[in-house]
Amino acid sequence: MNALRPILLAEDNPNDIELILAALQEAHLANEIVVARDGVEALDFLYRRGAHAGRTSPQPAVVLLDLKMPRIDGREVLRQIRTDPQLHALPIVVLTSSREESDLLQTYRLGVNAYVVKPVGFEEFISAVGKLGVFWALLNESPAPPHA
Amino acid sequence: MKFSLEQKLVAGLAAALLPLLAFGAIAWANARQFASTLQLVDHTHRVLYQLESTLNHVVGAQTEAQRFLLIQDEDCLTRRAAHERALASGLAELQGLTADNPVQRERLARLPALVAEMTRLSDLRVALAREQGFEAARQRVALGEVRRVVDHIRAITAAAESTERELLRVRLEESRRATATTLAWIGLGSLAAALLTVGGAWKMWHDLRARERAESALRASEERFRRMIDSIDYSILLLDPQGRVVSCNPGAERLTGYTAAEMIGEPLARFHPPESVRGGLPGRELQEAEAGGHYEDEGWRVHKDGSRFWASVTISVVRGADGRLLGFVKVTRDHSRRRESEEQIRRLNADLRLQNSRLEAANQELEAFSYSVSHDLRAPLRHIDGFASLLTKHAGEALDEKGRRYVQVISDAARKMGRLIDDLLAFSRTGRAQLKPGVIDSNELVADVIRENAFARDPRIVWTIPRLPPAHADPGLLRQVWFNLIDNAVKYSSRADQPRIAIGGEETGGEAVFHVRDNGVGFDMQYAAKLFGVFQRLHAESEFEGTGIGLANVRRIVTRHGGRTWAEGRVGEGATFSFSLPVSTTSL
Repeated sequence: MNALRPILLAEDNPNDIELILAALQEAHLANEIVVARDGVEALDFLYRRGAHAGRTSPQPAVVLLDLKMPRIDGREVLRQIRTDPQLHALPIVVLTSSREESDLLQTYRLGVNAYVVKPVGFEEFISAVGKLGVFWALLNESPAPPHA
Repeated sequence: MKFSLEQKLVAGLAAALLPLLAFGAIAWANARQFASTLQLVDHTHRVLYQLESTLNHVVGAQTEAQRFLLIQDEDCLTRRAAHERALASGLAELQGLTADNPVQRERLARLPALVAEMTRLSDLRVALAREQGFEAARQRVALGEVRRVVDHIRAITAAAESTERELLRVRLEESRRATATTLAWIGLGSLAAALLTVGGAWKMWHDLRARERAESALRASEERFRRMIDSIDYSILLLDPQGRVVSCNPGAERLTGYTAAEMIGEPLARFHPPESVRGGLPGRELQEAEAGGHYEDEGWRVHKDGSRFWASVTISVVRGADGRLLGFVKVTRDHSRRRESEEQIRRLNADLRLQNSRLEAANQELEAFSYSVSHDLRAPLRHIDGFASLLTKHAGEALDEKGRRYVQVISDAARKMGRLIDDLLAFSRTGRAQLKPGVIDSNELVADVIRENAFARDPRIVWTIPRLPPAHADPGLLRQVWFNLIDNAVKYSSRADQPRIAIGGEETGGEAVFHVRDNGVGFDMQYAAKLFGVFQRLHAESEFEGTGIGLANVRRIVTRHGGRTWAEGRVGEGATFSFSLPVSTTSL
């Protein structure tokens, strides 16, 4: 069923968006990829409100979440998802530039499923993002959201 | 058990008096006996005298009677009568004197009868002479008969005399002995008295000496105490129950500027600033001291010249044995300098807090900076490399050899910059990270580092790792130290035909010293000081890869643990990198 679910990419940097999309394409994933430019958009998508009001597609197979975003940052998005009984089981992978241990510890405490540092090298980047997409969008079975 | 002085005195007197009394009693008894002996001797003499007198009168009376018959003189009869009267009274006295001696009494009891017989015979001859003439009397009364009676009397008195003389001898002997005994007792008593006197005198002298010493010690102690009171820079005031100065020490004069004469009789308020006096502090001080026995405070006091000093004040109440308030002792000390120091400490502390908060702010800025570096600086590099790769993919065919090389250089430069940033961030983290020291098995750690890192898997390397001492350090950071040193050793010995890496360690002088030695390219010792600096490299990057951060990180970690780092080497002959760690973790 995962194949039918979209992948939500919350990322504000257009270059990163382009590179991630290229990487996911390399991995030949058929999932629809929804891009949110900040935390507010990401939450709107998940709660089907604002621009995404009336959305009928199922909840995403995985959220690829950048930490540093305008308005609402990745940590806050993560916190809201994990404290919402409807969304708390949603697989979330933090995809960030930060190697700071404080970020790592904090996001794990908030209940992230994986923490991936974006490699500088493009080959490693493609490989990392591709593997993420395959694992979380295709292989991982997560409990289906109640009203998906 | 302790005795009072009185008890000791009485006991001493008793000890001295008792033998004296005993000796006195003995001497007295002896003297009594001596006196009675003397009396007896006198008695004996009197008996002897009476015996002799009796015999004389007997002979006298007889002789006068005889003479009367011869010369017929009446006067002879008169003298004879006198002898006989004396004889009668003498006999009576003899009887009285010998009443206590039965032998003598019985013996002498026969005398009156004999004397009477003698008198009768004499009377008879006198009567005959008068009646029949003297010649007849001389013939009729035989002289022998009278002589026999007189001899009898003589014999009796002689026996009596002999008995008395014997008695006298015995009594004199007794008296002599008694005298000797008395003298002996008196001598002994005198000796004892002398001994006791000497002993008492010695004891008294000894006690006096002891008292003298005690008194002189007391005087010295008082003198010391007085000097101390005089010399200390505390002000000590004696106050009466109303709080007026009764006396003071020189310290009080020095502290307040008043002379003793100026202070005496003054109230406590004299030394307080006006606002304290208005607030009633002087009275309150005394009230609290009286209520609690003690009052302590610090505050401003006023010098005679009006200047103020910060005083530490202690007031103690003084009470008599009956609990009556006698007054107060007030000890004051000038703490102006201490207060100044405290003020200074407070100022310094405030400065320090300010510095600290500035430092904290700077640290936070640094954290924010490195956070932003971590996030924002790496992203463009990723994009450079990413889009350079995409460009190759997209237009690789259109690019010539030169063009493809340019793209490759862009990629390499971006990756290199990424590594530099990563290393710098790690280096920065090393300086900020909280140390969590523990005891580490160095052999295990070294084995882990070698096993877990691909660079060390060159099969040509000959490893020498003896038993290493344990280390006291943060495990994560120490792992980084070993990683960097072993990584270097492998890297710089990789060109040798037979790379040799020797790891060692020993505990000396309170620290554990470790080293990593390789037979690689080595270095010139004149650059040794540069080795541990950030971005300092002694070899071209084209020769050996690296960012120049590793050894700087090693030094920073070891220094943070209180240890040292150093290196020795020669060009072409290998290098030895060493570091020490304190054995105790207390310095961390």
